[in-house]
Amino acid sequence: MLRMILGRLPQMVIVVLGTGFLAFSIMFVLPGDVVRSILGDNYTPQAAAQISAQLHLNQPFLIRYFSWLGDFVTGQLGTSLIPPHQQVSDLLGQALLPTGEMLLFGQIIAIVLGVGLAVLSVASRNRVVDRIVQAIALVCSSIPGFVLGLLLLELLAVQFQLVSPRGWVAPADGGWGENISHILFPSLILGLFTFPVMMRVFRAELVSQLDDEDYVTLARLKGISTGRLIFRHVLRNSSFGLLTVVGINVARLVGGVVVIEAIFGIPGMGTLIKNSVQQHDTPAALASITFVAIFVVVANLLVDIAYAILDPRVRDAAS
Amino acid sequence: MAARNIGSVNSPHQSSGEPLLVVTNLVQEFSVPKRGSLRNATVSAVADVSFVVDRGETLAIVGETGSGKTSLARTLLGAPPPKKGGITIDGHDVTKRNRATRKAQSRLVQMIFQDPSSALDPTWSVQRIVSEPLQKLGLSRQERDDRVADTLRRVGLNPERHSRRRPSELSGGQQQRVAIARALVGRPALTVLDEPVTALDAATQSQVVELLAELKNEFGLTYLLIAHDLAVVQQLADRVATMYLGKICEEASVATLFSTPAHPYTAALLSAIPSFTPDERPRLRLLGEPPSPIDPPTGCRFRTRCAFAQEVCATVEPRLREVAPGQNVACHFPLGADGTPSTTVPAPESLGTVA
Amino acid sequence: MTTATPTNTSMIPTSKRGPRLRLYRARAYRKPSVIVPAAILLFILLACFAGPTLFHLPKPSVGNLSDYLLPIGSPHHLLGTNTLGNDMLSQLLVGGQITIIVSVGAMALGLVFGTLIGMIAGYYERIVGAVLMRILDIIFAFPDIILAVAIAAYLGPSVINTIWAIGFFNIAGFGRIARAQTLRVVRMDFIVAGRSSGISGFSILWTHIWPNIAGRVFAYALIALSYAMMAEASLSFLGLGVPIPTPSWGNIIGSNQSYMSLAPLLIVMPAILLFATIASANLLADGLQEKRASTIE
Ligand SMILES: Nc1ncnc2c1ncn2[C@@H]1O[C@H](COP(=O)(O)OP(=O)(O)OP(=O)(O)O)[C@@H](O)[C@H]1O
Ligand SMILES: [Mg+2]
Repeated sequence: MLRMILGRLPQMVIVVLGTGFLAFSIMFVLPGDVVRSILGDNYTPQAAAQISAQLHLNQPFLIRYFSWLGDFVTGQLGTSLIPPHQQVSDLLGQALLPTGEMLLFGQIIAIVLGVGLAVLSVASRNRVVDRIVQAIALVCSSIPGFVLGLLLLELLAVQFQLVSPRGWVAPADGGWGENISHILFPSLILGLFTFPVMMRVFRAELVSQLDDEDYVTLARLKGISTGRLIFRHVLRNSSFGLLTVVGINVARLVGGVVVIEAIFGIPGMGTLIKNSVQQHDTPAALASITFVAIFVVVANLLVDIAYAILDPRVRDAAS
Repeated sequence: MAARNIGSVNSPHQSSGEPLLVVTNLVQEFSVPKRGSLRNATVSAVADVSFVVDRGETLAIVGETGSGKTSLARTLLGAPPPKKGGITIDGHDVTKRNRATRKAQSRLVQMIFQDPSSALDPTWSVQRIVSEPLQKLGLSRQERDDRVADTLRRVGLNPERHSRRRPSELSGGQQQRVAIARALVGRPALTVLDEPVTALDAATQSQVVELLAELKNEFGLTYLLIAHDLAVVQQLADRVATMYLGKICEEASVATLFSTPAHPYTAALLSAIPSFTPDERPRLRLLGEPPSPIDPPTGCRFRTRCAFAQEVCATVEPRLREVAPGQNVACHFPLGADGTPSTTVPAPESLGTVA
Repeated sequence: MTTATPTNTSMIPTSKRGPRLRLYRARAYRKPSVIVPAAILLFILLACFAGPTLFHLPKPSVGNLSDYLLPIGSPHHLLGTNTLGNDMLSQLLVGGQITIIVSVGAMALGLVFGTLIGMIAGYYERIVGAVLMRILDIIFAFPDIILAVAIAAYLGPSVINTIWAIGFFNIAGFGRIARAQTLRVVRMDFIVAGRSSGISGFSILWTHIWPNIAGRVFAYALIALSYAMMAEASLSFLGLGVPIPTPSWGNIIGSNQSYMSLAPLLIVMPAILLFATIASANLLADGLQEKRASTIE
């Protein structure tokens, strides 16, 4: 077990370093005078020199990368280049809660929809139900998340006033109940946007279980219905499929967060990344992108560990 | 007695006595991921194998599944190159991968594979497949097309009818004929045949074996034949080597090996086929599964399944040595004419104490 | 000479093999699950690229503010106008051109570079392959839209830069598919046979491996196209993709966002087009996959 985690560590470190490097390269190698675009109309030689020094722009690229890396690892994320020049670590801290909640609720909704519809379509053994479920998945996977968001927002929030159009109320302002009731709607859209992939993967898993496994044949011979079969045996054995699906979905959710936050004006990581990148606020952009990379990588590691705990073969081999 | 080989299509021994393929101390290993470990395990597929094939001769290699026959064959083609040891074909050291050997390679060695469906590119036409080995020989287009048509005709295919087809539009026997044409079109010095008929049905098998024998006589080819089926070996081979867990156990002429096998493993392989075992010899059975090549037995690799194993077999690895003229055996207690060990003390040659 | 007779010729009809085969293949595509989405895609393509000249539509961004929000069916403005008085039909069709050009361009970028990298990574398995694969893993593990946002923001919004930003992370998807397929093909004996005929590595990649993986790569291309289209729309919506006044389906939605209640059609119309195109590409990919499954494997 420990060995497996240790074995994965170098790979994770490489991925995180690589993403940092990639983000770093994007910001410093791509054309465009960073200093000029940061200062805009306030361009003066002194200010330019100050910013250059702050970003270590006068040093070779690799040196800058490693000095940034050193700072990042020791938690010195620097200050934002945009007034009011907040600490980047504070910005990250503020963005964490909204995005964390959205990812959590979005994942839960996606699992419920994905697994539920997959079971429904397989268990019903009814072509019509199966077709309908497939069609729903096709529709949801063919509408960009922001379109879905805008349409549902208009329909449910503005026309029928069923939900609040505002996406975010800080718990400090309105209490946790207010907070969660506001974040649920954006999370629903995130879930709707991401569940079709989960459904397809899980459905394939269920079908292959039903086709292959001997115990299923045995149960069938005993006259157990497909629905009961799925609930009593197959689901228990499909936990790997579920894990895979959850793992796949993490990166998709994180990607979806950027647009959903923009629609609902939620001050989360997506908004932070988008704004800092757009305003060329390099310290904030680098830190937030690398932070998201770490999050995705760690989430995938957790999925792998869960795999190892569940799978007797891996568990036995490791101990 | 093993009398059937008298009626085989095999012509009398054509060997020139001039070595064409010289393999010395060849080692091939694969690393495979080991469960629950960060380090890889090593599969020993070919372990310190040496032999010589003369020009015009056919050497057959037989052995149980997993004994390393295919690994040996592929190593001769450099796919992948050997871990250790030397391979010389027609005087060229083919372990050195330089431009000159690469250019010469299609003339040096070609292979006919076990599975015709994987040996032929499904997206290529028969014409293109067969002409591939001619690409680097500097022939004109007309010469190439003529050679391809000739060779197709020679293996029993009709160039007009078959050369535009894809492999999937041919029967299994036709596919194997294409593979044979592909291998022989450039007249390679050495042809490696890896179970050339195993994938075919019985009737097609005998046709293809006959074809291979004819082609060999006609063009004076040299074959390294890998086979499961001892009847095929009898028809095509001059000499046979038996292989077990990556090692050569015994090597002799077909007649000698089939009539008086000296290695218990060879005897056991022959025992599996009723018509081969002389009545006066005891039948030997191979017990159980072969051990894992990841962690082969010490000493003699065959000892765990050998009826005659002694203590020394676990500690000292037997050397390949001549026990009768033209018969080499790697065993401390080789079988005599009666099918039981002829000695009770290991010979100094097999212990390696004699230089 | 005992064996010079070809075997089993009776089993295979021998005359006119080539044409018959092509006919057969064409028939395999002739089913609703392929034809319907293909026809929709073709129609959208034709409408977007031929429509504006064919119907003498005004340029998409020359509207007059006096034509503010004309309703559907107005004279000279079949689909009405937007808040700037621009002709909506023209906006939608020209916007479609841009969206299609950007997503096809991004897909092609991914296809060319990704497939090349994937094939090399699969063929030269050891060191080169491992390094390339790690790089692809890094790009792949990362939420694509975030990288695209970063690239687009730093390059500045423009059509070409949007293609680069989206194309860049498409590389990883194609790279993975191409690598997995190459690993499958490299195991085949005909590769060993080719190598032992002295054929060089690049020649083997091009003549043996590419034809054998092309089908899967092109099947993935449709899926990649639908991803690219979503990415273009999302980037343009965020204001980081195709810059206004050049229309694209994504930025039409983005720029009319605040008129959602006032004039919902301004958003619904491009949304329907976007959806129809993406869904058709997905359906076509499914339909072709089905065809592959039934005739090849
Ligand atoms: N690429 C590879 N990676 C790892 N192990 C391999 C590889 N190729 C062969 N081996 C192992 O090497 C050993 C010898 O295999 P090989 O295919 O040479 O046997 P064989 O004698 O040809 O068997 P068969 O008669 O079944 O064809 C086997 O244990 C096999 O599992
Ligand atoms: Mg083999």
